[in-house]
Amino acid sequence: MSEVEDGILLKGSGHRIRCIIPESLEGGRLVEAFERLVEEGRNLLDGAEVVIDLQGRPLSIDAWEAILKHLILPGGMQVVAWLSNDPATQALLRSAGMILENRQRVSKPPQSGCKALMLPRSLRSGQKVEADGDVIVFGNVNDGAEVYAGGHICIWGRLQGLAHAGCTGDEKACIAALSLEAVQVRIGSLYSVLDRGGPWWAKPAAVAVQNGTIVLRSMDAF
Amino acid sequence: MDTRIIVVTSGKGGVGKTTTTANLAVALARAGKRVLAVDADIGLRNLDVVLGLENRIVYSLVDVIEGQCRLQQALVRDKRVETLYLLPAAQTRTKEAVSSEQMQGLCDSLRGEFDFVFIDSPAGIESGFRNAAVGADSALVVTTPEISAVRDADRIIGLLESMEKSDISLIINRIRPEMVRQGDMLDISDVVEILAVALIGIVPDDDAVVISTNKGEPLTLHSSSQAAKAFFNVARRLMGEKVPFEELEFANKGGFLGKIRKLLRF
Repeated sequence: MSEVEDGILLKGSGHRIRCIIPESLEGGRLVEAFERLVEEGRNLLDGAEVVIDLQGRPLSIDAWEAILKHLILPGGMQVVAWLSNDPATQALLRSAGMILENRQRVSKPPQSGCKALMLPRSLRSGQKVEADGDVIVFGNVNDGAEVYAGGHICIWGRLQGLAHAGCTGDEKACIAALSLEAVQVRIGSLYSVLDRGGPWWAKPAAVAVQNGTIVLRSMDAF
Repeated sequence: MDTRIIVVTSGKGGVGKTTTTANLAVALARAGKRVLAVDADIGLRNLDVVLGLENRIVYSLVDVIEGQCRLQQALVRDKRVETLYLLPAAQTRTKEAVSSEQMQGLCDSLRGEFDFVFIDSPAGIESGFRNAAVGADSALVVTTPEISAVRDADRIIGLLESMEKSDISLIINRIRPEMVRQGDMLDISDVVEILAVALIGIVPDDDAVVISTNKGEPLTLHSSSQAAKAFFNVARRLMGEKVPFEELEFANKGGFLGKIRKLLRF
């Protein structure tokens, strides 16, 4: 799952969310970005298991305090691990008793065994979901919403927004929706423009890649 | 006095937020409620003109927030409906002139003074919208039956939900039943299904709105037009009455062409 707010990225990874804090954000801008993220992503973060990714940032006490005060405490999240590329920061986190995550495990490319992200609600315009594995949405993906999955995308509702299956390059991925009403779908590095009002419009349908082309198959028979 | 603070918002501009605010404020005031209409569109004020009170403004919302005057001094009382007040926006300032905390403080200070406070939000999703919504108990989202307006309304509803505003109602404005029937306009049920919030009003497209806006006399002051009736129905629903949604039977008003269409069923 991901929402980019002032450079902070939330990325779905199985049942957890990775919160990537770019090194470029410092001081007041960092606090401001946290506050905005907490305000806008409250539904997403509240109670969620979160891995905080500090990238290569040498963690200062001020930044640590800001993360605690303006992100972790008001966000209502459960921090399950920390990620860092900076050896000094890793040592600092270890000495403070924090659980350090192995980056290889988190940033692994999508695999067929990757756990699916289940989303039990509709996505409204402007909302975006991103996951390494498959994504199953129990609701609608409204016009202006976006779903990016390393694997397949299944929408148990209406697809009006953008769905990009196999977004890390996997062209074996497919997209299925109970009601396909999207004007564009993407699989791997391919995209296809769909005409409104085709015989399959607003009906159950699946799209997949065959011989290098995106093809659509009606699922009326199911 | 229990005060209900309602933000009127839409995301997209020009869908009828200010018209809705003015007409609902007048309708509720005529029903005996103490009503305040707040223009939160700082820098682009319109509500004063639509209410016909622009010549009596002395102070603005920004003056109140900056402590240049007391709230009572800035309120403009409507002489036509005595329980209606306007808190105008400043025209010479920008949205950045107030903060969320200040707007929250202003809303808190209004509690107990009025039955209903309507906050007319500016278009957009930036600080102006957030400031307008921050102190509200509930939201009225206004949309027209156009794909672009519905998409923006959907975005606004998502943002309201993230601000923990769960009491969100929908007004579909400028509906043209003839166009809906011919498939040239989104149906009410389509809009409600997409936005998935409670419908509180359906307002037909009505030339009387343009005339009333230019005159500074909201329709609900005395008009018996279709749009005025729709706004009165919304006002009654806001007061807790159960008012059934009337089917807008424009087919009967379609004149000769309407009858021919009905005969030919297209």
